[in-house]
Amino acid sequence: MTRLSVFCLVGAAAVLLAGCSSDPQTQRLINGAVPFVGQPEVTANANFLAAYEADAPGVAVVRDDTPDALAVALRQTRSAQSGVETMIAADGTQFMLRKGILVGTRGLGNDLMAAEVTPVERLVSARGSGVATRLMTFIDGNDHAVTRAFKCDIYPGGLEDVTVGTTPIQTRLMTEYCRGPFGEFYNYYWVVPGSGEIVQSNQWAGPLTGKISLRKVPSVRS
Amino acid sequence: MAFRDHSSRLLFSALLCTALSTAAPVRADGVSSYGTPGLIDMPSATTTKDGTLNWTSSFLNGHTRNTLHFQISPRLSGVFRYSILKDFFSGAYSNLYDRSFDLHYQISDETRRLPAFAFGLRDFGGTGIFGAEYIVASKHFLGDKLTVTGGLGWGRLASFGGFSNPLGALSESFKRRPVFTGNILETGRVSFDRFFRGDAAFFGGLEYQYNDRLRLVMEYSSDAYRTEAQRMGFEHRSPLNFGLNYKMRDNLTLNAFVVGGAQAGLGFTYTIDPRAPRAPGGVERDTPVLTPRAEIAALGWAVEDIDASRNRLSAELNQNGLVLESYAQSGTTAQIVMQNTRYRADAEALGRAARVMANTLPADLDSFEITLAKQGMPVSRTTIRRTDLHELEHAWDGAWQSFVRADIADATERLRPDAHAYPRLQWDLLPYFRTSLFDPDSPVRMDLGLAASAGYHIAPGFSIHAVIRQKVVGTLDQSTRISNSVLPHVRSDAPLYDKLQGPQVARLTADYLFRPGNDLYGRVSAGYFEPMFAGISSEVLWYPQGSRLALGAELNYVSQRDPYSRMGLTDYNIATGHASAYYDFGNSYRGQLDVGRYLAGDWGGTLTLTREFDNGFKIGAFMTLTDVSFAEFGEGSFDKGLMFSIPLDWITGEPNRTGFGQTIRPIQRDGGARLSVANRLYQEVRSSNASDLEHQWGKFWR
Repeated sequence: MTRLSVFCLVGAAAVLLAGCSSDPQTQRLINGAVPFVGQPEVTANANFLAAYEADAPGVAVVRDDTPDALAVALRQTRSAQSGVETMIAADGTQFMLRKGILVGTRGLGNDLMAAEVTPVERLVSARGSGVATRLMTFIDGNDHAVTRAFKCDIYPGGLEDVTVGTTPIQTRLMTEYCRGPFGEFYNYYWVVPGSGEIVQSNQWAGPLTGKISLRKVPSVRS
Repeated sequence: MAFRDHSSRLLFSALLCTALSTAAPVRADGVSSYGTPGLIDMPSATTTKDGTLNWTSSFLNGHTRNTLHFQISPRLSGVFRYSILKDFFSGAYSNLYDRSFDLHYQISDETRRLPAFAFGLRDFGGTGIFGAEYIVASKHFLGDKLTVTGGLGWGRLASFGGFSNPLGALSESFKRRPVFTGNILETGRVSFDRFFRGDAAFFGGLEYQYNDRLRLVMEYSSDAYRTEAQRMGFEHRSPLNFGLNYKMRDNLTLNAFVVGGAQAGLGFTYTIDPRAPRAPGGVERDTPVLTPRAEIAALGWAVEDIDASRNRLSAELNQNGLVLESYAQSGTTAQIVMQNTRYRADAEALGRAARVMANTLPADLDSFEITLAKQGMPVSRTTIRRTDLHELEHAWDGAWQSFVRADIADATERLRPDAHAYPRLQWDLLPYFRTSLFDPDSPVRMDLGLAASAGYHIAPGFSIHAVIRQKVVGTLDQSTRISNSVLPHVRSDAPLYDKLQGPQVARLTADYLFRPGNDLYGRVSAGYFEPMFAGISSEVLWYPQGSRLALGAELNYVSQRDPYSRMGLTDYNIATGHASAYYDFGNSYRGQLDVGRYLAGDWGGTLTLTREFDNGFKIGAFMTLTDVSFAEFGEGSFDKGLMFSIPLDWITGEPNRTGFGQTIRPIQRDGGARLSVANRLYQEVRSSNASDLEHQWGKFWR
C-alpha cells in the first residue's frame, strides 16, 4: 500500500469519526454508523422499566421466524375506551391486545396499526363456532394506512394443558382460519373454559412480521 | 335479470382479482442489455412495475452500458444511459463516452387474443450512436411462462436485414434517414428529422421462464453492430443472440449473453421499488400511547398552573424531537406553536404532539390547537379534540377518521415565543460528498470531506445560516477542462471553485421568513447563497391550505463569487428571478413551471415533472429552454437532467428529516442556469400545508 492510500484511508476514517450534531437523533445515527466506537450501553426502555416497577401483567412473545428470540412484554397502559392493552418489551417494541387478540404492533415495520376483531373475540371467548369478519389496518411502504378485510371460520378443538409459570391450566384450543387479500392464515387461541381468557395464542401479525406466539406469564418480579 | 347479471360479473371480477393476487406466477418478462423491457438487445412490448427503478449494467467486449430505467407511469418508461465504448476513436482520447435517453410506451395491453403493442425511441437526443425506433408486439403463452415478441425497427435496429421503409408509402421522405454529422454542437437535441426514417427491419425472439429464478432468451437481432465492427473489432457472424437471466434475489438479476455469435457478455439488473422500503412505514419503537383520561384527572394537575403544564409538555415533546416554542391556554383549549425537527411527515409530528399533550396537560383541557412553524414562521394550525384522540387511538380506521375530525386552518399569526425559546442554536458537523459526473477524462470525480453547518435562530422567522466545507480527499480539483462557453461562465467554471484550497464557505446567509397575509408567505435573504453566487434574494408564495396549486415569484440581485478567493466577488452582477407555478396532479405526480431570467441573463422557462411518493422518495426530470440558441449553448444544446432524492428514513426506518439526492445533468453549461437558494418557500412550507398533511396522515398514529 502506498503512503498516499494510507493517508487517504486515515482521512476517510477521520471524516466518519468526526460527525457530531446538536440534534440527539442525528447524533445517534452517527454513533450507529461509526465502527469500533463504544456504543452507549443498552438500557431497557423507560416505559418497560416503569411497567416492571409496577409489577404489570405480562406476556412472553416470540416471532415464528426467529424462534430463539423470546421477549417479555409488560402492560404499559390499558385504554378505557377500547379496552386495548398496550404491552411494551424492553427494546420498546409494542403489542396491542384486546382480550388477548392482537390488534396492533409498533416497532416491527409494516406494522399493524389497528384491527376490528369484535366478532372474532365473541366467538373465541365463547368457544363457539361460526364465521366472523376481521379488519386489519397496516401501514404500507408508502406510509398509507391500508385496511384489509378477512373472512374467518372459527371452530373449537380439543382440550389442552398450557403451563403458565409452573401451573398447568386446562384450555380449549380455538382455531380461526382466515382468507383475505394476502392469502390465508390460521390463528390459534388457548382459551380457559370458565373465564374465556386467552392464556396462549399464535396469531398472524401481518405480511412482513408473519406469525407471533404469545403466552401469559406470571408476575416477572416474583 | 339485470341485477343478477351485474352480480355475477362482480363475482367473476372478484374471483379474477383473488386469482391474480394469490397465484401471480412469474412472468417471462425481462430487461434487455439496454435496460428497458426486452430480450437481449431487442425490445419487447412489456413494462416493468409502475413506479419502479431499474439499474442495468452490461459489459460486452469493451462496450459498457449503464442504464437507469424508470417506469414513469404504468405505460410510459424513460431511460438515461451512460455508455463507454473502448477504443472507439483513434488517438489520445480513444474512448467514446455517450449519454443517451430512451422512451418506451406501451400502446395497448395484451388481451386474450391480441398481443401487447409498444413503441419506443432509443437515444432520441445525444450523438445518436444507439439511435433507433421500434414498434413491437409481445404475447404470453403457457401460463405466462413463454413470451413471444416480434417487431419492426428503424435506425440502428435496421442495420441487419433492412429493407425499404414501409412508411415510404406515406411519404418519400421516410425512405432516407439523415446521418449524424459528428458535430458535437448538434448533440442533445431531439432528432425529430430521423424518427422512423430510412430502412426498416424485422426482429423478434422468445423468452422462457424455466423456473422462478432462471429465464432463457433467444432473439433474432436486427442490429449488425456495424460501427463497433468497423471501429472496435466486433464480429457479427449470426443474427441470433442467446441469453440467460438468473434472479439471485427479488431485486437482483444476473445476466449472461452471446451477441452476434461471437461476443460473450455479462450484466446485472438491480431493481428498486420506491414503495417498498426495508421497514414499510418505519420501525419507530416506543410510540406515545394515551394514558386514560381518568388517570390524568387523578393526578390533579391544575389548569391555572400554566408554567407547570408548559414544563411537563416541553420536556415530553423534546423527548419526541419536537421543540415547543409557545404555550398558552384559552378557556379549555391548549394552544402551542412547535417546530418539528425529527419527522419527515409533519402528520406524524402532529400525532405525537397531540398524544403528548393528552398525557401531560390537565384533564380539563379538552381541545388542542397545534401550530406548525417553519423557522418560527407559522404555517398551519390543526385543532384536535381530546375525546377524539381517545376514541380513535385503536380504531381500525383511526387514521382516516382522525384526519376527518381534525380541523386544519391557515396560521398567519402565531403566539409570542416563550422565554428561552429564542435565540436557539442548532449545529452539525457531518461528512459530505460531492460528485462531478461524465467528464470524459474521468467520468466520476468525487470529494469527501467535512461540513460544519449552523443555524442561529434569533427570533421567529429570523435566522442566520452558515455551511463551511473542508475537503479531506477527492478529485474534483483535478479537472483540466477549461470552459469554452461563449456565455458568461455562470456554471461552466465550477471546476475552478473546487481548486481553492482550505475551507470553503458554501453558505452564509441571513434569512427572514414571514406571513404577509392569508395564504401568503414571504422570504428575504442576503449573503452567500451557494459556492458560486452571493447577493440578495426575495420571494413571495401564494399557497392556500389544501390547494393543489401554488404560485410564487422570486427576485434576486447577485454577484458571481471569485473562484480564487474565499469571500471575494467578481464584477459579474445580474438581476435574476422567476415566476413559478407548482401543481400536484395527484397520484404522486407533480409539476413545476418556472419562467424568468437566468444567471447568464437569458430569458426562458424550466419545466420539471416529478413522481413523488408519500414516503418522500422522489424522482424527476427537468428541461430548460431559453433565448440562448442551441449553438451558443454548446454541447448538449439546452439544459436538462434528472434528479432523485431518497429520504434517510426510507433506508433506516427511523425518523429523520434529512436524505440524500442527486441531480444528474448530461452536461452542465451556462444557459438556463438558476441561482441555488437553500430555503425556497414552497419546499420550506409544503410539509406543513394541509395538502401534504393529508397525503401523509397514515403516519399520525406512529
